[in-house]
This record gives sequence, structure tokens and C-alpha cells, in this order.
Amino acid sequence: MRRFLPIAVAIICGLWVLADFFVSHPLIDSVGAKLLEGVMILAAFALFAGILNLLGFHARRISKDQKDWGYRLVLMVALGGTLIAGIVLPGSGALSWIFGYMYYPLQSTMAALLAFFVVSAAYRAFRLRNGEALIMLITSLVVLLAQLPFSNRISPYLPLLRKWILDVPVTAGTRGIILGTALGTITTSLRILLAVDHPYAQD
Amino acid sequence: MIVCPACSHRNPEGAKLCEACGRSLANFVYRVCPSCGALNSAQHVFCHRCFAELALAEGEEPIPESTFVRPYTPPIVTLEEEVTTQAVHREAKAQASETGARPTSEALPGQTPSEAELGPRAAAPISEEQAVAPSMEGEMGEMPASTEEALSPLEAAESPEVLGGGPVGAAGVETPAVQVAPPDETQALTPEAAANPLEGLDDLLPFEPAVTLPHRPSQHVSAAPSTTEDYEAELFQQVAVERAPLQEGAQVVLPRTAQGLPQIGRTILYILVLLAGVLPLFTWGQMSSFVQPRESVLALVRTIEELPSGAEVLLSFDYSPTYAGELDPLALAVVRHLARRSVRMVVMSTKPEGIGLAEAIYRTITEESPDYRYGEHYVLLGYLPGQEAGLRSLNTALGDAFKIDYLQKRPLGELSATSGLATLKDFDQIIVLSDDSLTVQRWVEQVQAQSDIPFHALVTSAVEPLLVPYQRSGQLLSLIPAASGAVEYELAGSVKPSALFRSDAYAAFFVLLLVVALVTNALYARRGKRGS
Repeated sequence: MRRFLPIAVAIICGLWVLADFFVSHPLIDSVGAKLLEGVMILAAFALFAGILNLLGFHARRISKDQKDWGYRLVLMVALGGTLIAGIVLPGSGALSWIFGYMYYPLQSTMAALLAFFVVSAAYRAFRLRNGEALIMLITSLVVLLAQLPFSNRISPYLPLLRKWILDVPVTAGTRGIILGTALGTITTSLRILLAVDHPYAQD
Repeated sequence: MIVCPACSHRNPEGAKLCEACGRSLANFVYRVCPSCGALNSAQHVFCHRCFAELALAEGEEPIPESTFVRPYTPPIVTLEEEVTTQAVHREAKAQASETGARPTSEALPGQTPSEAELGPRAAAPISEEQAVAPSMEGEMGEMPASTEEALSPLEAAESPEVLGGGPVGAAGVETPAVQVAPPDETQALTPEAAANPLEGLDDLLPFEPAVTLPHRPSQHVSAAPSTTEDYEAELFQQVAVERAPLQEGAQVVLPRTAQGLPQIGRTILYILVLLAGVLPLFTWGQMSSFVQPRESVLALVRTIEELPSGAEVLLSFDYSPTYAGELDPLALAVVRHLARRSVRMVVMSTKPEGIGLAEAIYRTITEESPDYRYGEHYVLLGYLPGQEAGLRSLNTALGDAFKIDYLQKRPLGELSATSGLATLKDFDQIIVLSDDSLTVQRWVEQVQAQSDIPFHALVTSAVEPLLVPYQRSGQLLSLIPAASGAVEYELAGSVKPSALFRSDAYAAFFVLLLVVALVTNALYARRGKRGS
């Protein structure tokens, strides 16, 4: 009974939502909507549980006076401040200020550093070592050149060549990945629906 | 881990009741560590506390689960049997006092005198091995299989004969026995106490009963390294760290792979990257005169131009501030265009940070066009959790996914921009701005495939190739990479320019990458010739 109940619930819920995808019936639709609403509530609660876990993790290390405890303290203070700004003072604009003047610039700065790393990496990546490297170098040069605003002035065929690269070899590879992923998803779903796998009820 | 003696379920260490059958684990057979005195489960080979070996007998294998000793369960005793048993008990005591001999075993309720005095187990003195570690006995097969016949080791330990030294293990270390005070002979052993001496004390006792043992020096694995080990470690350190002296005239040859970008080269590259970013601030979009909008940009511009005034468009800001530098200009251009067309916009995000980015964009729009008001022309719905499930719920009922709006916390029915919206099918267009392909795939699979609403994706340039199949299949009406798409959109849609200078920066950076690629190969070719 201890194992049967979660498996039965999972199979029934899974089949119901699956049926809701294909069948339009008031009862199936309404129950399916409630199940989806439950998933959203669970997802939101998981976020809350994650915050609690994060707080507990760092609080334990601060109390043990471990290395880098100062950074952990800053993290906890920032987290607490943001929570207070969002929950206690929702209309004060404090949350928008934190987002616009702290979070946004920090994230953008980190992303901007990528430009330096990309150029450094290009020094090694574009080196001609073998045939594969030659193909990658030519493809990269074509795509880069075609993205230049004046690429048409260099050659009218450059944008066409870039389009061909994206439409044929890239699309073929991407479709293969998407189809493979879809087959894997179907297999996993069937295994869960048939109770071959039940990751939600680990022994 | 504690294996339940009743059902063999494996319970976590410290469990007092079996997770599967709910029985008490207090009667479980323990094995005492000869080094630290910790009590271990019978099947343990090494102590869980100090990792010392638990002195298996020579040639002995750890006992399989199937042969675990079952706890003693007293038989059901009727009143008549009870009276008979007590009479027999008194008679045996009287005989013993007459002869001066001590009975070898006390009869338990339900046992006949012959069983108590002559039975193969009850009559014989209970060995120390039986008391402490049945796995060491080597005679587990002789133990009674039935629950009624099995003898609890703790019960056996109450016998005075078993107190004292333990068995001798393979390493010659005497395994200590559990020290339990001898029972008061004046008190008769009640059936309850015989069944479970720890009955009622489960909550008071920890997993390990407070049995104190004198510390005995371990002859097993020691944590402190020996002198030999210290010497060997020092020698290894010398070999690993110190370099062997070079012979006279020897030349150090580094492997080719070690030849990376020299520091001076890296410095030059970083200065060039900085220049590529700074110089466009002074050129102010000279390169934009060369820009030609691509077909997908033109398609989106045409679609928005054809929308009637008051049409409903859903925008989802599914990107993080990391990619805001790339996606914000395109988002701003599209929103400006929609606002100019007096289209009603409903804004949401499937990423927690996305709605903050949208708020900043619409703040700019409101400052530029004060007539474009919140609630009347646009509404921010907020963050939608649940990924696929959240998007599926949008198809069913918009009000189920979002009860109130993000800024004013009012029900959607009270806002004129959302009052007539029930499901996604009420929207004329859906535009998703995203920095990862999986989010767009979710939208296509969960929303577009179900509703057939015209769907557009504005993405980062890195994501664009992964979504081309969806565009070619017609599921995405337009797929626009943001890096160059913002400038193209501003030109094609005649929107207020704010991203034009970016075309200079992109051009400068792409040219820099091309130069790096060419110079790199030229340098390597030159080094190769030198080497050959």
C-alpha cells in the first residue's frame, strides 16, 4: 500500500493531463486545470523551500565560523533585504531600485566580460590543426562576415551563404537533436505511466 | 543502517521503530566494537564510529539477512498454564534449596519443567557469543527459525553466566560483551520483561543504549601514521615537487601545448576589445547606413502594421539581465512600435527576473507617451511558475494562471486591457523574448501547437540556430536574433532609434574576431615553419 498509492496517483494524474491534451470535455478540462494549478503551486513552494535551504546552509557555516563567512553574511543580508523590500514594502519602489541599480548592472557586467573571454578563446579555437578545424574556421568566418552591417558590400552571396548554413546543415543537426530528445521524452513518459520507473517514490 | 529483525527492512541509523512494520528496533542484535565500544548492527564488518574491524571469526562470512535472529515473542499463556507454571517454578526453587544446587535456568512462562531444565537450549548455559554477537557463533544454522523458539540475545544476556569476557576473534582480540547488571534474584522475570527488557524505554534511550565499556587499545587500523609512513610521504613529496637537476648543457623543451597566449598578447587583445566597445560611442551609428533588414524582421513589422487599433498582443519577457544588453533594445523597439499602433499589450514572464525587465521597458514607454496608460493599454501579469504546466494552464484559462495583475494587484476583470480575455485564443499575436531555446520550445509545444495563434520569437543570436527548424516548419512566423535585429527593426519599423550605434559596436567586434582568427593562424604557421 505504501508503494502502491503514490504510483497509482502518479499514473492517474499523468493519464488525466495527457487526456486533457487530446480530448476536450468539461470534466477532463476542469480537473486537468486543477492539476496544473497544483503543479504551479508546488513549483512556487519549491522556490520558497529553496530559499529556506539556502539560508540554512549558509547560517550553519557562519555559526561554525568557516572560511568566507563574511561573504555568506553579505548574501544572507542581501537576501533578507530583498525579501523585505518585496514582501513588506511592495509599493515603495525599493524592489525596483534594487533590481535596476544593483542586480541588473551586476549581471550585465558579468555578461560583458564574456567579450574578453570570447576573444581569448578565439585565439585557440580558430587555429588550423586539422580538417575539422578548417571546416569550423570557414563556417565561422562566413557567419561572422555575413553579420557585418556592410556584408552585402563585401559580397552579395555572403548573406545567402549564411542562410544556407543555418537552413541546411544547422537545421539538420538541430532537428536530429530535437527528434532524439522527443523520443527519449516519450520513452521516459511511458516508463513512468506504466510504473516501470517511479522516481517520485524512491525506495 | 538497522535491519529490522521482524521484516528485514533496512532502516536508517538511529531509527527506533521500523519504517516498514512499525516494530521497535530496541531488541536488535548489536555487535560491540572492540576499539571504541560503539554498538554496531550485526551485519557490520567495520565499526560505524571508528572504522575498526569488528573481529569476525576466522573464515566467517557476514551473516546473510535471511538468518537474522528473530526477537523473542512470548507465547500466549492462559490462566491455567500460568498457575501451573508458577507451581512448577516454586517446586524447582524448593528442590534447589534442598539440594543446595542452583538451577541452571529459570523456566519461562509456557515452558514445561523438562523444557526448562533438560531442553537443549534452555538447559544449557547460554554462551557469550549468543549474548553479544550471534554472527560470531558460526552456528547460526542451528538457531530456531520460528519466532517462538528464538531467544533474544538481550534476554540471554541477563543470565549471570554470560557476563564477563567475550569471544576471541580472528585477530585474537577479545570482543567485549555487553555489561548488564545481574538480575535481582528476588524478583521474578515477568513475561513482558522477558520479551523486551527495554519496553517503555524507547523514548528515553538513544539508538545506542548507554552501555559504557572500558576503552581498550585497538590493534586494528590506526589513524596516526607510523614512522615508515611519514618517511614514505616525505619521500613522495620530494619526488613530486622537486625537480631533478638538469645535466650540464641540457635544454628545457616545453611541450607545444604549453605554448598559450602570452601575457602581452592577451593584454593587446583586451585593449582591442575595449576599443571595439568604446569607439562606437563616438561614431554614432555610421554603420547603420549599410544595414538591410532581413525577411523575418520585415515579416514582424508587417504583422504589427496590419494589427487593428485595440488588438491584443501577449508579450513574454523570458530572459535574464545577463542578456538584457542584447535583448532590451529589440524589446524596446517592438514595444514602441506596438504602442504607436495603439495595440493593447499583456505582459508576463516565465522567469522570475523577466517581469522586472519588462517593468523598466514600459516605464520608458510611459515616459515617452504619457497617454499610454497602465491598465488601459498595457498590463503586467507577473511571473508564471511551473514551466510546461504553467504554459498549459494559460491555454485553459488565463484567470487560473494569473488571479491579479503585477503592479496594482487588481483582478484581471477590473482592468480594461484584460477584461475581455479568457484564454490565450483571445490574443491576436504572441511575442516571446527569450535567451534560451528550451523556453521557446516550451511555448511552441504547449501553446502554439494547441492554439494556432501567430507566434514570434525574439532571441539572442546564440539561440537562433537552435530554433531555425521551428521557423522552417511555420510554427514561428518570425525568428529574430537580437544582436543585429534591433537595428534592423528600428530601420524597418521607422521606430525611434536607440540601437543604431550598436551596429558600429557589433561591426567592430566582429572585425576584431576576424582579425584574431587570421593573425592566430599566421602566427602558428610562422612558428611551424621555424620548428620544421
